[in-house]
Amino acid sequence: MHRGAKAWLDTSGWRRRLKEYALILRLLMKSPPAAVGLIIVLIYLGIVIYDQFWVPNNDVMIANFSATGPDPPFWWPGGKAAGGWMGTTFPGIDLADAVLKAVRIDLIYSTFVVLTGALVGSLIGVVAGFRGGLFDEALMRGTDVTYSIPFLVFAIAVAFALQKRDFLTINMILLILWWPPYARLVRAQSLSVKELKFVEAARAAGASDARIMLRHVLPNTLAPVFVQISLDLGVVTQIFAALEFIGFNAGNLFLPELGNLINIGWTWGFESHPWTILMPGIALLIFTVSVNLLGDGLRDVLDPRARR
Amino acid sequence: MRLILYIVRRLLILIPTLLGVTIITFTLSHAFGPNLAIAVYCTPKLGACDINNPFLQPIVQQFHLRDPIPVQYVFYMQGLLTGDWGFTTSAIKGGMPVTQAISIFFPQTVELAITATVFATLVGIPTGTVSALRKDKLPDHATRIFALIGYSIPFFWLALLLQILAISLVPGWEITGGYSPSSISPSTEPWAFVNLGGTYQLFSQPTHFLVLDAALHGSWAVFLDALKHLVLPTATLTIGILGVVLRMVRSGMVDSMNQDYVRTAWAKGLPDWVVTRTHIRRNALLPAATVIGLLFAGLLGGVVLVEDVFAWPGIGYWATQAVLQFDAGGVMGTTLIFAIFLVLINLAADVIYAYLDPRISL
Amino acid sequence: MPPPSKDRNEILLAARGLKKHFAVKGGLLQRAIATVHAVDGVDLVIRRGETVALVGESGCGKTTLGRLLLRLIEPTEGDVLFNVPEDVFERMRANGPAATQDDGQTKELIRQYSITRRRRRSMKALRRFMQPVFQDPFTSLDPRMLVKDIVAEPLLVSGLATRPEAYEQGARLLEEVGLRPEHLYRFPHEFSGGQRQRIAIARALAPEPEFLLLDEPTSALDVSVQAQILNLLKDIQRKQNLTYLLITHNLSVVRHMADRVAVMYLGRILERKRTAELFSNPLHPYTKALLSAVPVPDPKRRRERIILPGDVPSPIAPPAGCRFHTRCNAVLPHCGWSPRDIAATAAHMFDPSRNPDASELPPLEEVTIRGDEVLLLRYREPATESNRLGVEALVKARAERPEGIAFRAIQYVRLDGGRILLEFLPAKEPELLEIVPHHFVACYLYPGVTSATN
Ligand SMILES: Nc1ncnc2c1ncn2[C@@H]1O[C@H](COP(=O)(O)OP(=O)(O)OP(=O)(O)O)[C@@H](O)[C@H]1O
Ligand code: SF4
Ligand SMILES: [Mg+2]
Repeated sequence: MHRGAKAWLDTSGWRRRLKEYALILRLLMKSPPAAVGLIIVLIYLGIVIYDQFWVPNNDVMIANFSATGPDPPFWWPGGKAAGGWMGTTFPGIDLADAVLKAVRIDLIYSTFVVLTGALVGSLIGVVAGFRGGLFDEALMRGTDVTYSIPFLVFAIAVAFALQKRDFLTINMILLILWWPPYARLVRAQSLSVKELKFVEAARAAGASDARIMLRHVLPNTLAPVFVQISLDLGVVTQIFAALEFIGFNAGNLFLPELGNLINIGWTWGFESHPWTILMPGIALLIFTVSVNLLGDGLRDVLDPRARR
Repeated sequence: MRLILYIVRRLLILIPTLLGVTIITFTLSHAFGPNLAIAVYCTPKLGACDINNPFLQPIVQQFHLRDPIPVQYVFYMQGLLTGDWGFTTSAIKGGMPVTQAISIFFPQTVELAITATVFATLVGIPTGTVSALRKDKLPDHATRIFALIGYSIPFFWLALLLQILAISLVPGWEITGGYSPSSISPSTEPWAFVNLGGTYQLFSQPTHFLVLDAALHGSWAVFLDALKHLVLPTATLTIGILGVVLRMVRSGMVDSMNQDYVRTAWAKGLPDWVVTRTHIRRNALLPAATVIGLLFAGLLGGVVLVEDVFAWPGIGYWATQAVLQFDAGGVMGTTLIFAIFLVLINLAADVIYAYLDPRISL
Repeated sequence: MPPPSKDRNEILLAARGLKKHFAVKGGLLQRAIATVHAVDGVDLVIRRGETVALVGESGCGKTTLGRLLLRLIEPTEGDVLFNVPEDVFERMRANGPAATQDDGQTKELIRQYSITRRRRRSMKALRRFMQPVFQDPFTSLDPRMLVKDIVAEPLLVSGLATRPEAYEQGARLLEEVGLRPEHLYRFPHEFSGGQRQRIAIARALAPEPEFLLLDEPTSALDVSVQAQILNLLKDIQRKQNLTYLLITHNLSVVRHMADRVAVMYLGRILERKRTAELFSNPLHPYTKALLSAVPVPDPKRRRERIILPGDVPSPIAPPAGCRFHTRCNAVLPHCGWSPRDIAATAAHMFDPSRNPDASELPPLEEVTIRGDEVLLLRYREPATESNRLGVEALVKARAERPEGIAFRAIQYVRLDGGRILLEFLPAKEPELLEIVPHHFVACYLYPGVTSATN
């Protein structure tokens, strides 16, 4: 009897878990919009990886001050080969190069912000939901307050207090402000999960509160968190762009960032050079559309009841 | 009667939230040193915004800026409650008290927010209904793609895009900021011109909504000009929130179409429009009422960007100017007024929801 | 504190005056507005190796009692004693059931054996000796965990085994409950209800417990599977000399499984007895009613089916005195009648406009209940001695009638500053007493049952 068991003990549970994830992926690919979303997100991921490892100077745009002016892309009516396939913007920046670099920066930082927010928020939320009491009450009232200030305005106010308007400050602000939605999401889920009997079984087994929260309650609240992460990737990227656009590019005017690129086009007369704002804007739009598609698909697969 | 009690109760719950907001604005303006705190109140005429500036000593005393932080908070609150919200240098050339600036800028923001909400609802509810009724048919797919793009598109980029479209499609359309006085003579009442960071902006009496005021006074030239300036900002915001409205209405309708009582109503042979109007839509709109609050949060965020792109003289434009010009009073004032606005909208949404939903015991 | 379970004492688990009250929150500030008396003074003894069944209607507090026994929730009052020698227990019992009467020595003993007074940390060492199996196998297994981790968890958290040992043990346990070792690498959702319940049993068995709390272990399962699970439990008990507390609605299951039965009603135990004797000779009126619903194997001994009148009263305000008196068919005047029971009737009976027999009384203005013993009648004009006599006569007349039992509990009719005051016999709860050896009943019908003092 023990020998039969041993053979199975050699595999860790990971093979089985991977199978579970593969199943989710298969379900996801069954829905065409979600599949499209996933594929585009993967393409963007490819761009990030390519930029990260194979592109030199990937954190600065290459300007050419002697260039005559922005050239349209070669396929534009009246376009020249010099414009490349996305055109150029002021001062002599090749948009194809800049947009790809910007995609890397926007994606890496927004992922970092969203994941940190999700991690911190989930931990706070699970403790609040599981323990309840004063901590929970304080959390709810505190997040009520953050919810009552429009996010962009809040970010402006914090940036003002910090007396800085550069990309790093935007990141810091978002890191400070991005956890409350996750805390509330996980808290609400924990309230129902903690009533399930397996939590009581774990307590009867002698598990500590910390173990119950981390091993039993938290994992069972994560489905909507993953959905939210996916949707938030788009939102945070947009916020980066929006803040850079309204003038938070003070630290580094040549930072390859989509909002900064749009800002450059805007300041220098986009009406006669529409491609200067079209190219970075389309890159941003396609990304947000695809993470939204992916998020909706994930919701259908992971969390069918919460469909809105 | 119970509705009134409910409103009173919800108002009571608002108090801690608003207190929390003031704590945030206070912390942001006072926790980083006395010079930032005094910058909220000092006017440029008095010289450098430094706590040791002798001309500023009355302010230091009035707001107890040398006292411990909690004491400062008490006097900060006292200032807020008595209408002393500080002094803004960015809103208007030469500066003015924050409360006065709010009274000038706020109507413009409300104008945008309301027109966008009205249009989004007027378009969104029927379109969402059709989309749900023709689920998985062509109109539905079209609506869903439009909604997806609507809530994915960045507000500021959409604003630029619409400008490009307008320029290339409408002959003679040019990029203009805010209300420009080009079409009217500035001498006549009830218009007032204000020098906003170098350009003159037009403000009007008595409703503060230029379109309305112009119509009231029969100045059709102004009316048309104002309307023209209103089109693109409103369109941007409308498209942006229409995505959310469409999604809500459609999914609410689809859900309630699958409810038993709706199937029964259909089985009874009631005409389609009766079922739609009386059974489905009423229930579908309930969840929509809950997201009005969320919608407005997004809308107000978008307002900042849209006002910025169109140099529309509202609170959002002022907020951006304030942060770019290191204007402490402006930043704190706009933050506070946005928060109060949003909190009240949320209250209204809750009350509407409670009123609509017979299941809620008030 | 003696090392638990080192010596295997006779009484494995006992409840002493155990209470659990839940606060019902409500209103704007979510303050406690009422109290649910879920468990309200329970005495229970579970001896090593036996199966005790706990039966009672839905909502009477069985699950809550089970959770208290495992200290999954903290009691409001009272103690759970673990692993007590018989003689020590007798000494405690000699002092009476209520904690308030304990002398210093008893208190010391209780402190020694009580698990509810232990610190949380030292409680952890005891957890492995008592494990639960819950009713619903669909929520009792963590859906995100592999079976191997579910089964190994009790071993790992109590430090009884290393990880490989725990998994090996898990494989053995699965075979013991009738599954296969390869099931270790599956998720719970891949199993049927019966299989899941087997996994739950395997988990409960993992730390080699001495006591299993079985909270309706089969009621969520198909009938065909129920018997398999029950037989499995019986087998395991025989092999490992386990002790069970079996919570169930199903009296056939009781007869099949249990050595002794405790009957619970509204948070209290009304009768405790050996299974066979309980079925052949129930004493408590509530038990009689419960059993009358069970088909009897012997057709000659067909029992009359007793239908209980009315609903179970709310545990928020359990009836005074014997809490079964509102539905009992054998009530006595001192069973706990209180003004609550007659307030509605009184408003009718003592009002001249509604009852012609009361025509001499002035118009009735108000009926007030004060506590569990006093009902006040206020008339439009101050009551006189002759009014009092009139009321007294009405009470007497009503008490003669068969349905007037509650009025027999009225001790005095008095004048009280212009009002008429009806005073009831003090409402006291019957104590759970040993009527016949090993047969405990809480009912005034039986000689020797006096009122409990709490
Ligand atoms: N956590 C809790 N908070 C408030 N009330 C509770 C709680 N748990 C149980 N109750 C209440 O206590 C009473 C007893 O509940 P319990 O679950 O113990 O009954 P039960 O006998 O197990 O019923 P069933 O046969 O339906 O399982 C019920 O009225 C229940 O509503
Ligand atoms: S004490 Fe006995 S007779 Fe009296 S009500 Fe209770 S069960 Fe019935
Ligand atoms: Mg139960």
